[in-house]
Amino acid sequence: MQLEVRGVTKRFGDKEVLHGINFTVQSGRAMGFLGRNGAGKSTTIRCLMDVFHQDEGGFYIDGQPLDITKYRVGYLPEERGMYQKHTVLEQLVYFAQLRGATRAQALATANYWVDYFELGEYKKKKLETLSKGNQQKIQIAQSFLNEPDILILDEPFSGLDPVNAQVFKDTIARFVSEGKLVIFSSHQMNYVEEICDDVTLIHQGNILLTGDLEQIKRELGQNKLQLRIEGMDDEALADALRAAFPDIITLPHEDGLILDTQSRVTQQQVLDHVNRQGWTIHHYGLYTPSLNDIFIAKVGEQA
Amino acid sequence: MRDFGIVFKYELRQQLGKRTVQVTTLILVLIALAATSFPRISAMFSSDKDGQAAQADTTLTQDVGYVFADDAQRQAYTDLLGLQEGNHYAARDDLVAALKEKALKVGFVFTGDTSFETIYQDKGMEDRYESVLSQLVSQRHKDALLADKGLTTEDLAAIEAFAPDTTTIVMGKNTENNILLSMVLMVMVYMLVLIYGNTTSTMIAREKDSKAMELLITSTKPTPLILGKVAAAGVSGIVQFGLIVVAALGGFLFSQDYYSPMVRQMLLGSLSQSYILTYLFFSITGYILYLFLYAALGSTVSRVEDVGSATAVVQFIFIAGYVASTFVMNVPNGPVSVATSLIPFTAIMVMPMRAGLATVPAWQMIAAGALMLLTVALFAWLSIKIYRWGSLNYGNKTNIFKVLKEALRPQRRAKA
Repeated sequence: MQLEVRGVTKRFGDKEVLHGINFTVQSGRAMGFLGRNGAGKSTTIRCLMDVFHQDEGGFYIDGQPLDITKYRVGYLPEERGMYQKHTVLEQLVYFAQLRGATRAQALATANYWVDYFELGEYKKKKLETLSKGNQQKIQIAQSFLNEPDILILDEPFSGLDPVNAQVFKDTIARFVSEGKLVIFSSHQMNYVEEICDDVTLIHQGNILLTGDLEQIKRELGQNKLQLRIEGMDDEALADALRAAFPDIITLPHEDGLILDTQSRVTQQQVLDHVNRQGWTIHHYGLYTPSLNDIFIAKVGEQA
Repeated sequence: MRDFGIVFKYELRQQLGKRTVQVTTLILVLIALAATSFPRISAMFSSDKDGQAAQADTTLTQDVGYVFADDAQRQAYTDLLGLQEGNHYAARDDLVAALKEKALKVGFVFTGDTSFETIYQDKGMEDRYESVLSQLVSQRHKDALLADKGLTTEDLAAIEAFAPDTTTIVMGKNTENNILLSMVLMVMVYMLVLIYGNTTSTMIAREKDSKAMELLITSTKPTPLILGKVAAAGVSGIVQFGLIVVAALGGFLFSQDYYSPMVRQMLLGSLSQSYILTYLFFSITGYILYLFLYAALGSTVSRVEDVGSATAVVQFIFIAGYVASTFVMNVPNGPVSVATSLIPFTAIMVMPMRAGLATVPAWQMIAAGALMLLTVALFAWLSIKIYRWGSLNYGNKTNIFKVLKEALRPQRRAKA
């Protein structure tokens, strides 16, 4: 199954917040949807969920226009909220029934996910009596009801402690391995990097990059080295290298200076220069950007 | 239809499962039962009291002293009241002395057949000895005058009780008979709409407040959601009020023999089948109409505490209908009554009131019914649109015209 977002534009009054965005999501591959606050992530997701209606463009599944009501969709909205004064199990059963399950199926799936998150003792308690963390788990549980074909999670990790985040990551991995279509937005790059096969970066309503995460890393790391010299600060090193190799571009980085050789300087030339200068290498290697580096670099380019 | 059933059952279970609703209903049922059984209960107590009072009526003998004008008068009152020797005093001064010593509460000094002086040492708020004795003296005087004419008190009562033999035929409705029941039913509809209207708008505003609405509208369509919620609120209101009516009716049937014939006539006189059908049709459809209005307005606010200000306009319209229905009592077929019974927002109370008090032309009844059904359908559709629009309109202050403009704007869908 392939979900295609094709030329989606959304305006609120005179303000255009999505400018004809395009990207695709494959089932069996988790897709991380990244962007700063107000970049357009939640608006895109709400258009996809048919909460908002896009002004132009559309969503397609395997080439056909998407009718979201025809699929079993698990959705975790950015604005968390369920019935505070209703009991945990009865409202999960209610949501499962509204999404097409029979009463018996709804009871089975609700019980399964409450037990899965080790919240069985709270089934008959009102939601408001649970701790914030446990309420968050119930919110997540509701998105997993009825074994969804498509899972759309808006900032799923916010409010989760490390233990629950791990449980959640394992669950997403399970859905991905079962060939489900999974999209989730997040600010937390480490989680996205761990789970996602693909990423899409949105900034001010435009897609900055989209595709396979490893390939993006390789492409963005091409012709880049990372170097740190004992007893020398990165700024002095950058000045020295630029004097020796005028074509080189240097970029500061917390793990050591990044050298973009532009394919005009070889690794050997750099190492020979280090040896000639009698510098002692503290760290040297090919540079592979982290998702965080990619995010900062790409968004920074647009600033 | 399937989702409507799910929403309806869930919301109804939530509504009727609330402890506060159950306790309030129980209290109101008991009050209704007690209120309508009151004449019987009150009769049980009052008959005992009367008996006790009859046995122990010592108003004019206990601690009361008399000085009579002459022996004949003394003998007559002694026989009439059963006076003892201790009640008699030879002179006014003796009586005053006894009052000062607190041996008596009150003293009477007769100065003639129909004149007497009343003397208290201390007079309490409730002391009415002189008025009781005055009635007795008056009755004696009246009897004496009648006797002079050769008549008795019974003869006089028979003369005064005469009434001509007449028959009154009311071809249409008798306002006197129907007004009490019509007012009671009108007040019930008034309470039903205000209580459950607010419940409906609060229910929907709370979903926005708790952010549950986004989950709901991505789980099903707005139509089953709003229809299910309104139906659940409507049915729970009817169940609650139905129980109160059954309790009140039960209490009335239990005690109907103890109601005065006039009250019984006023309550039962209007209960014709056509009146009941008219009342049920306009009350229930009007109630549903208002619930849709309240639901739509509830979805335009983001916080529960804003519900009151958002629904004020509906309450104003509804109260105007209530005021109009009180006007109808005086002129059931006047132009204002006819107009307000045709307008659906006021017809909810005005038409049943008119139908109870006067004969409503068939065309007006049919026109009002048709208008009511059309308006309910229109506002059901509008409330679905407003609910859908309002579901994600958080925080923005707006007005009803802006809401309607935005809610009715056509939405673009993805095309192949």
